[in-house]
Amino acid sequence: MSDLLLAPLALLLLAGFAVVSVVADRALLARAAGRPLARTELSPWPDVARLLVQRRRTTTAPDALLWRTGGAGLLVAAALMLAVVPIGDSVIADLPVGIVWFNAMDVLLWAFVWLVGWGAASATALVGGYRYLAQALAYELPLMFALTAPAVAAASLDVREVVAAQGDRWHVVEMPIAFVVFLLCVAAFSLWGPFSAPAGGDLAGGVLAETSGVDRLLLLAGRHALVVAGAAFAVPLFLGGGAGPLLPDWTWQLLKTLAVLLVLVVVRRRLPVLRPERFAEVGWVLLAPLTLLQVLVTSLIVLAEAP
Amino acid sequence: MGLTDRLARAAVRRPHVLLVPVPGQRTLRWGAEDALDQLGWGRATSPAEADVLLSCGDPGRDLAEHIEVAWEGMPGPRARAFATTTDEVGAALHAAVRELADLPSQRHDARTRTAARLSAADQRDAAPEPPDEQAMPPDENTMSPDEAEPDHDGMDLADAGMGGMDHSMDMDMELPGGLVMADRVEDRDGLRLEGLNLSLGPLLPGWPAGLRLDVLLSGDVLTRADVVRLDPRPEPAAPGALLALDALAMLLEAAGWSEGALRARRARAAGGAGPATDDLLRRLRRARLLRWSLRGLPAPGGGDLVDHLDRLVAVMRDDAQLPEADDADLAHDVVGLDLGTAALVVAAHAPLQPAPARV
Amino acid sequence: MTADDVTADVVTTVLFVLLALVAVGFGFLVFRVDSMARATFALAVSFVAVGGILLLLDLDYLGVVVVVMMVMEMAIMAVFMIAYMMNPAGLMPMSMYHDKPPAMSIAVGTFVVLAGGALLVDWPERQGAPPADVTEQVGLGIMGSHMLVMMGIGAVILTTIVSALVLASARSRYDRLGDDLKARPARDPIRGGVGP
Repeated sequence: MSDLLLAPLALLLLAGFAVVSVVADRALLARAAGRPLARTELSPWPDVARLLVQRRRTTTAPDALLWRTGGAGLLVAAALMLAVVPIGDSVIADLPVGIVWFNAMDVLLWAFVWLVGWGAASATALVGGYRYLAQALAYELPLMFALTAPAVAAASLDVREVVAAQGDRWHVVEMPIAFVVFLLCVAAFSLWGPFSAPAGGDLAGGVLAETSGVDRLLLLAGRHALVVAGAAFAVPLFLGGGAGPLLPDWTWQLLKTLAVLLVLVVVRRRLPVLRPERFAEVGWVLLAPLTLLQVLVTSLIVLAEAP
Repeated sequence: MGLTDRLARAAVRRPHVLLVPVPGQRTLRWGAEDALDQLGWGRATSPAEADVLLSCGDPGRDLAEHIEVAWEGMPGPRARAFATTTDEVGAALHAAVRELADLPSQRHDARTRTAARLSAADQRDAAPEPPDEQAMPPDENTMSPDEAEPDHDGMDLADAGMGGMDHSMDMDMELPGGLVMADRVEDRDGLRLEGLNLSLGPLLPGWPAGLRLDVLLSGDVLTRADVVRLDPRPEPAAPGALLALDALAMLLEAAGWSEGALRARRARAAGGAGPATDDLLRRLRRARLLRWSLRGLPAPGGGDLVDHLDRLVAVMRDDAQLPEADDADLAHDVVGLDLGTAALVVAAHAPLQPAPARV
Repeated sequence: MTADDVTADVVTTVLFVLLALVAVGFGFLVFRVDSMARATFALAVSFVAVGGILLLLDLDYLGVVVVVMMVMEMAIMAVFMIAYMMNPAGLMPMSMYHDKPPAMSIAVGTFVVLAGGALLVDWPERQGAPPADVTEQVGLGIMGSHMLVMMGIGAVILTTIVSALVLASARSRYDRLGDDLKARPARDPIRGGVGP
């Protein structure tokens, strides 16, 4: 059953995990630079305070309505993604089509990120927005197929039924390709790590170029929130939800989310940025057929195991 | 109030610094980058992100104009730092932080900015004339500092777009903000897209000192490029290994592997030989994704950027000769590439010494 | 009907009215705003409202899929609108109406007829309760025994799109790989990610 009262808890967990991702990221950077890991080094508070204190800015003839809507949209999409993730036994929105809802929220990002790029009325920001669409065209189809595989295995689009169907064997064992592709696509729609070309440093920050102060904070917080929401969704879909010995369900779920999140943070620092025009061919020629094959294999397994 | 004070104090603990490299001051730039890496402060990718503007040395007249535009683009609170030797960098940064924390002076700065902008706008409205591109230096992105008065004072794409384009006489449409309609230009794939004159300026992150690329963009593909060196001065000599590590750091930063660039800078700070360099070389050998993404892009001295990467590694390991770069080659290589790829090619070309024939 | 049912009905009606107003209002806004980007995303909001109405009809899958497809399409449409239309940023005032009197009367007239029909027709009373999976029943009702054919048609359409792109492309395999198809790397303006 839907439990709207879970919403504040979910938002709190979202914020908490976002802070964890920032701390882990800073720890990796500090280690690479040879700086000692002190509390002052790892805390995200100075960056947040800096952005809160900084004044906002604008450009000549921006489209302010679209610009600010896009900016706020990332956080909204991340929060809505969390609405279908079961926390323990309950879920905020008990939709029978939870998987498609997640897909819909990540498609909303196409609109929001492009609007941020367009609204700023700046060449570099606009190029960043278009880069995001180019990347999105490449990863969206593999993402949809990667989301279809667990749905086929569980014969349902409801996230809780997908968790229940993983009773004895987690989906990550049956469909590893779908899991890896899903994680890649989480990084891609969050402008994270190898897929951060739309917000790239080579373009003076891409879609982030003309933003400062609170607007910039919303965008950066949105990126982290999206990664957390994606990691949280991977757990019920591929990693068996709260299943595990000894500890209660919700503990296992939090631990697994943390593990996936740390993997994504490490990937961010380890890999160079992929250029969208190179990735386009990879997405269509390599990932889309692979994920289709994965769905085929999953279907064959379901047929073989049918009573 | 307690919360405002705590916020203000936390805000200056880790400012983001816009580093302005000055031609001829390479060792100073190295010192500043190492200082920032040690302090853990972020390096700003655009003036919008920056709190502190650090000039590495005394800029010439042309570069100073660009620095002024960037300074105007920085939202408050902001501070300027200036260093002429490596030892001064730390003190300059900390002085800038004290200036950032000085709330009364920041408020004064904000008020005088607003007043100056309003009076300038009044004078312009009184005597309207078409903007003169020579009067204001072209800039790398649109900016106008304050939210309170959206006005037409900021240097932006329109002014950059008016120079160099042969627009026909009926283009008299006055769009708001002094913007003009773009002309259409044929691009690499045969489409007719809008042509945009843009100056990819000297202050883009990781961009070589004093280099400006004036380009004609069609969509996001460069159809024409001119390399302009602002205030060129000869760089001091340095060991080949350090130069190679510097070139590697710029290339890796442009390729988006910031951890790799950090390690390269660390190896450079450690003197070019030793465990840091060996660690970096080992990681580069295993960096298959990096090589895949650099394939097919033109490099200085021929070949592609993967060959260039190998050449730089050879300089460090076997003390080979550094490849030479030529601005004419750069302007030629960059045409037909899109903005991001062009930034990569520039990052590979420009840290190297220009060929001796041109000076 | 219990008090809960009455409350549910009221809530449903209020939501329906809100979503309907948003759908029609933003649809009309498409023609009123000057900026192409705003027109595209006003249309996107209108479509999302329609998706919401489908959710109210218990057609969960259809409602969410409408949102997915329409937002993706509007994002791509924005790219083309801005590439091909004049005045994409709406900096100059412009009017998107042509043939105002006949167009307006046809549009308003059609809306009145359809909406009036939907509200005023004497629909039969529901007998029994809706099935557990409404989407499945709708699918069976529309496509019935031809479900396999419809799925096959989906694959055929995808193949057709790919073939049309290949045929329409100005550069063929021979342009890329030379007359003997052996040139490596391929002669492309930008280098692809995989393959020759």
